[in-house]
Amino acid sequence: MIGRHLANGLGILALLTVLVGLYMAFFYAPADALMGDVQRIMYIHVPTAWVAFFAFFMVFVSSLVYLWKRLPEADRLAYASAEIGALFTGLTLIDGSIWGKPTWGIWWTWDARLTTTAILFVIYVGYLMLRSFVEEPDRRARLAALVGIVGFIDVPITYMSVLWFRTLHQPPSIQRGGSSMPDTMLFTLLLNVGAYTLVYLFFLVKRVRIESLNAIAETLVAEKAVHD
Amino acid sequence: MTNVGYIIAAYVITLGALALYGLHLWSRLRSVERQLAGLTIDKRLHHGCQ
Repeated sequence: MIGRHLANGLGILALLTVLVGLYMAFFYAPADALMGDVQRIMYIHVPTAWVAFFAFFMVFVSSLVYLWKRLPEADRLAYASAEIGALFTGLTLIDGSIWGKPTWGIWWTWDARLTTTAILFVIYVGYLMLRSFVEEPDRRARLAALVGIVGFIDVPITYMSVLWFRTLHQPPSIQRGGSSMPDTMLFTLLLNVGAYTLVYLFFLVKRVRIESLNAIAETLVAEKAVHD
Repeated sequence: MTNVGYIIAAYVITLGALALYGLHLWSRLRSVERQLAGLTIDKRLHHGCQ
């Protein structure tokens, strides 16, 4: 388990990086030639989407590890990551919608990228609901792991949707061949991606600690009940 | 809404939600730590009485 001082240090680093990222998004990166200042929403929209994908990848890997080794720690990591990932997916949908209104003239459309992201959100909210419905811990962890593995299929579909389908949503800002953005924009975007990844890691450490302490508390309560 | 309004709305909602979630985690962690401290004291007392 990561020490408390290390976790708090991670939190401070995440906060500082977010502040630097905010400064760069508003005062360092230039306005977009076509969209103008409203394109600055990209510096929060792309990082939240990236973190959501990364969080669900962690759910996928932890779920595989749980099914293979039956480690409760892997189940706790998957649970924590799914909760944070669902939050970031919700925020991606909201800030994307806010960006869509001045750019496309609409808050929402059933475009491939938007629809697959909404499905992703529903899958992981469903994952969290499933965990709250099943009381028996082993069965809950097993079922959740299955949803965590099968649900991840939607992540590459969401990512590739802008390339596979004719969509209103723009293609990925950064692709294998490079980026069409000027360096100042690209650097600001990458710094913000790093900043929100640190926020995710900080939340993950704290959320896993809550689950670990909850497990210890449950054991103590059970022991107390046996003694009484 | 002007473009500035959209930008502010996106940033305030996103950063506000993350800050609230951070506070929620901090509060839950404090609560479970207090519960665990209480249970540990109970366990020590229980063993001490035996």
